[in-house]
Amino acid sequence: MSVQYKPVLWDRSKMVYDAVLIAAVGAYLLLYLKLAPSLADWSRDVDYNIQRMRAFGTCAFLMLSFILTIGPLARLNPAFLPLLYNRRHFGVLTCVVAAAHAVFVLDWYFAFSDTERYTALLAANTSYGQVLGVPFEAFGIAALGILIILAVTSHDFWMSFLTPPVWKAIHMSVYAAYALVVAHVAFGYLQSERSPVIAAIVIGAAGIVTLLHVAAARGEARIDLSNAAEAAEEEWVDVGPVCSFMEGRGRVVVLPDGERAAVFRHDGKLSALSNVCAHQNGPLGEGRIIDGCVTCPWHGHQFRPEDGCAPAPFTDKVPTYRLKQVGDRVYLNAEALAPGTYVEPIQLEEAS
Amino acid sequence: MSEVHREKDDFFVGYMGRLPEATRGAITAFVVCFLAAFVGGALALGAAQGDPGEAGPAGAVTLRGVIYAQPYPHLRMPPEAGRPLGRTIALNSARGKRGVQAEATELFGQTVEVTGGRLLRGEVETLQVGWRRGAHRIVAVEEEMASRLTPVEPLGRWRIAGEICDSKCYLGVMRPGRGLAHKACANLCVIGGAPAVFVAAGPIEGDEFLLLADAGGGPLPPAYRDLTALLISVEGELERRGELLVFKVDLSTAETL
Repeated sequence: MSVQYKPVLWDRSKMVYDAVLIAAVGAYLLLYLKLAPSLADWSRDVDYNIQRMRAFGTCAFLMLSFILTIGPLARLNPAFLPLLYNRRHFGVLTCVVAAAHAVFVLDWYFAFSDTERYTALLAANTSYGQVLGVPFEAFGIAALGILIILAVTSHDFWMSFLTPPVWKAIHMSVYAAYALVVAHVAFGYLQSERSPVIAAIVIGAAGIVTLLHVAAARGEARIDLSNAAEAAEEEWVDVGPVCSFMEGRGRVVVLPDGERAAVFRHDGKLSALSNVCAHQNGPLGEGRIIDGCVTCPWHGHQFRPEDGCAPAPFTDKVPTYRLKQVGDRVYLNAEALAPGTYVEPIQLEEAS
Repeated sequence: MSEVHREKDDFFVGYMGRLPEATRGAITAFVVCFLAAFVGGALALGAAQGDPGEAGPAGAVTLRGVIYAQPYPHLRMPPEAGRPLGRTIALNSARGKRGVQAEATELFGQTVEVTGGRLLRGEVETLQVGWRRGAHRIVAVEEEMASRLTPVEPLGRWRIAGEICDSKCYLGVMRPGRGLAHKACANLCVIGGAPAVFVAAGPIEGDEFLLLADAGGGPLPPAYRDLTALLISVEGELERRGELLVFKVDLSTAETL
């Protein structure tokens, strides 16, 4: 958390994360360009320029595939949540690798001509009316455009400027970018290279990403069903028995209108606030109470349970909800209060 | 240890800089898979790249012959020992994706000396004219050679399966210099003046490398661009000019296979 915008707020976790990323990318490029050719069965070497564009292109594809596994893995098993912490650096590095691929393509396939290279990129193949031979470069251009937008707006400044919902909506376009990348590879490289190894890796990576998302979505649907609050009277909904709230932890409840609230127990008292973190829309209800504050599992942003305000000097706020206990049951008023509204926590009276 | 502190132990907060015990197994497994995928992926994907074929530069040479501009610049030489049809070579420019139409048109039908870098794929060759700075390109010489060339031989109408390529990349300037990933580059080369060729799926009259022309014997019309790099079959009149087959195609008959 920070009250001012700095390019990168480095900490040990980010440094380790980035070191692993850079080591993996470096190893990939080195092995692809230096060792793999000696294992290939070529009459004469593939051009180094073509090897280089392929190395960066395939590396970017693998990186994007791995990025997209992190979200569903963290949904399926919270032990993977630390991978989310610095995912934006992963994304920015992927954009840089993809941009390098594009530059190498431009400087080889579209260079050395009287036609300016950007014009050549758009004009040399215009067979949009056919499947085979379709200008697959267009898919790559669109994907790279999205990746650049995501990388440029990845900083917290843009999230604050655009507001988290808009920022989140923009960043969901990473799925469109991935679909475009798969199309780019499928209609380009896979049509030229007959090796089943290349096809298997591309299909396998895209398949794993898809399966993980389906599994995570099914898991979410099951959890939503089990966490669904039952309407009791007017705006009040039954969110469960007192004993279902563990000290220091939260529980996500799905309200009748589909919104999610997070009910936290701290020092024997219950408070409720929006489940959506004001930072990157992380699931606050899956966080913990640390130093008296609800702490988001994604990036550690904190909010006081009683008023949804970030502790000073931070200024973020989330909506709060009113709670009441009737007998052994806890009820939540489904009408969200304005972000930062203080609500007296309810002191739980456990049944003996 | 209080309950809150125990909770902290299985909960990761990035800026606290410590990986909780409960997450270490999962994170280690992911990092191992990640690194293994990158190492294995690099080797598998790198080594799986297809063979670009035995094509590429084969040294500089100066040739003397009769130059023709249509459908694309080519040089014909009279028969000699071991080459009864006469060596015939498509001409490219060494200056990128360009051709030598201007020179060929200007000197059409004359005996010339051409200096360039050879590109060779099997027995098929082309010359990259002006292969180094300062080297003369195409120079007319005083020698009558046209009457010693073998006559153009019509070989009838054919439907042939194969792929439209640009002669420069296919013969080794780019390896690989064919295929759909190379389609835009091939179009750009032919637009710039590189001779368009048809690489037949099997030998036609002993050759797989055919110089392309439109039905009238001129360069291909722009419609070829939708067909480049695809496996197609197309009809046309075939003729032999020395060692080179010229395929005058009717693109309206093209079918994607």
